[in-house]
Amino acid sequence: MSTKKVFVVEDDEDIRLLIDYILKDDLYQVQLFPDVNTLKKGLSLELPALIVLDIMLPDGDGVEICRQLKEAAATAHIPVLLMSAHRSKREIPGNTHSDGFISKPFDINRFKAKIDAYMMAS
Amino acid sequence: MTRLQHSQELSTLQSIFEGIDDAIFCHDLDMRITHWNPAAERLFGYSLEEIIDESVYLLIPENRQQEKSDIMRDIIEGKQIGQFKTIRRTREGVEIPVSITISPIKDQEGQVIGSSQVARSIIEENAAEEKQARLAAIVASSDDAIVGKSLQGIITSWNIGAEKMFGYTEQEAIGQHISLLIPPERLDEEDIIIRNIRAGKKVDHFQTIRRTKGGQQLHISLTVSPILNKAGEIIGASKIARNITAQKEAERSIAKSMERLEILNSISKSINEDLDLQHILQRVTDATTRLTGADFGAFFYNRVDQAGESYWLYTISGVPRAAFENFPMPRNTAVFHPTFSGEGVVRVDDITKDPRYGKNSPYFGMPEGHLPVVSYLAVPVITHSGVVIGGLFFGHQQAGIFKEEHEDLVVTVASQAAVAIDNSRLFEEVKDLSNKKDEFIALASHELKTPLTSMSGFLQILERTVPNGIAKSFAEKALKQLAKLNELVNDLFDISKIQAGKLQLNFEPFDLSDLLNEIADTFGQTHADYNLKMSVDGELLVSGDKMRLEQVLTNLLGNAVKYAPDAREVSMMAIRTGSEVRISVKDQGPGILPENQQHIFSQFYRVKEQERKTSGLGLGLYISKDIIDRHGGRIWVESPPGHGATFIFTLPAFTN
Repeated sequence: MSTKKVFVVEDDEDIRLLIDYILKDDLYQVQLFPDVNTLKKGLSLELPALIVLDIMLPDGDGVEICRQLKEAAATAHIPVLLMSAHRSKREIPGNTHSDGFISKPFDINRFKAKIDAYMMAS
Repeated sequence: MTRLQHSQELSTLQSIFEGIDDAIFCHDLDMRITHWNPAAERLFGYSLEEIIDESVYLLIPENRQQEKSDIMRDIIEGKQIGQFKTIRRTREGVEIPVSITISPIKDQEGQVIGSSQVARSIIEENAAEEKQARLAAIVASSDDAIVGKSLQGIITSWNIGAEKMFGYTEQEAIGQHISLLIPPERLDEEDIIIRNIRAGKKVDHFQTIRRTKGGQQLHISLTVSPILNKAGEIIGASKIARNITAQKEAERSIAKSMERLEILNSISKSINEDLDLQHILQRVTDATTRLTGADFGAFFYNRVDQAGESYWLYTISGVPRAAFENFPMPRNTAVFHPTFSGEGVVRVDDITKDPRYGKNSPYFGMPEGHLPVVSYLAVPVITHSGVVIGGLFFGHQQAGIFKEEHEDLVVTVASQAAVAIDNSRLFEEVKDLSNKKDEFIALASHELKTPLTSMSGFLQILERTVPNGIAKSFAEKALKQLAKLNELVNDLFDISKIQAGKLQLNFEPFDLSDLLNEIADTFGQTHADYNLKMSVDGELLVSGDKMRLEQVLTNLLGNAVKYAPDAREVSMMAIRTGSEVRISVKDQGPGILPENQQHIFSQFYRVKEQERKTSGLGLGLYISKDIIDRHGGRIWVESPPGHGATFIFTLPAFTN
């Protein structure tokens, strides 16, 4: 099971640190990406079981990246959780194509529970 | 003559004397009345008994007695005076005009021994004559043309008015046919008039056109009446013509001015109300094209985009837009220069003959396919600050169409248009800035969320890892403050969306009582020291945005706690009344003064008395009201003095 990975894309270093801390003692590996560019490189090497994707990224829009991932045959099956300061997924205009949504700031217990649920299912 | 014959003759004369309608009386040379017939009694009022032997001067007004004496001299000489018109006086002293025939009475020797008088009242005759004289004077002096004509249309009378109006003298006109005055295309009018006259009908105020001797056309108003002879037969017509050319012109110019005023009025009103530039330009173009009577009009509007490049907007009236689509925009040629430089109005009767025309390559005139322009009018549109923002151009294929009055009208409209365009520009700028502000707030709230997220996360970890004690309680307090901070950022974000009209609601039917119970649970956990009294009336189906309604209720509960810090009880009730669901949140605080009640739902409003004691941006109730309004509900506050404040809102109940 240790091969199961979750990719987290978040430009803020402290939030990356926080998520890493919350998830690190789990049975799966966490790989952090600060932007879209590094994510794409990561995806070219291996595919994760779950992607947690911030919307406002320095080199791209999470919603658009999510759409691309869902349209690409290789990544269409990977669940994507969008993460943003919106209070709910419905506040994001248009169809996000995502599987779930995390509103910032978040309760760390709920955050972990959500990630666990997806990782267990995968 | 036999005696018998004589006697018969006498009785015949007597019977005539008594039966005749004319007054007959005789007097002797002493002027004493000797005979007096019944008609004399009727005319003068004296009976036979009263008047016999009285002086004839009794019947003669004093100023006429000399005349009588003069007449008597003739009578004595044996002369007869026939139908002499004079005045006599009746018994009542009334003076009456009479016509008298006076004859001498002679004896057998031929000596004059008296006179007989046959008198007839000519009151009526006199009046008729006077009337005729007066009428004649009126006819002569009238400015109206008064013309008599026979049924065959031959002119039989012609007054001075007719001479002045039509230019023909009386001699020239009389005997001519009336068609002399009628323009050829209106000749059949005469048939209609004559038909009416023959039928005894008057033609009243018939407005038509007649022709003068000089060939000028006059607008006249015609009244034609039949002329009857004594037997009542129609023998001709009298026609009165009034020249209404001036009146017609005045009417036309009034109507024209009225129309223009209306156009000006409507344009100034509509362009001042409108802030959409294209609309304003189109209206201005349409109105000025109408005002000038141009074949077509165009408004070229010089704009400068953000990169500083100038470009053209234009509107067209009178011809389809396609008529100009393929032409390049007007350039700074000799013809267009005065307009685009703001030098002034160009108004030319024939632009093709203007020295400025046709000087520029590549077209040297109008490009091929251009609508033919001969009459040309161009008015610059200049703003208050002196910037030339464009020009109004008008064309007509005939020469000399545009007059000074048209120029004045367009200049007036152009100045109004400049103001409206300025307003619209300002409005666009403000709108732009407002959009930028909303974008900024949206961005700022996202940026604020990033440190909030990491701080919140780290504090949660701290709060869970440090042992019970002061550090843990501080971490808890810091988390509560962070939650408040998060709500403030959310409010800011909502406000920017409400103002941009982008606050999206996602409606779904759900049971509001479930939501209320969830909220009550959360409230209980976070406000353990408060007693929340709940009263929920069973299932309450509504169609709404669950998250936004939760936001409203959380806001109302939060206010109930915030503004009543000393109270320990809040109540929340929900019932269904008719087609509505009514939810209320009641606190035990000091309540809200009536003067504040109407303002608390306004943006940024905060009750002054509370301003320093409590935190907040004054946005919560404003956002709540927007959310409730958009659910088709109402929200208000009730706060009787001393009974706290109750916030109530309604939502339409959901029915399948």
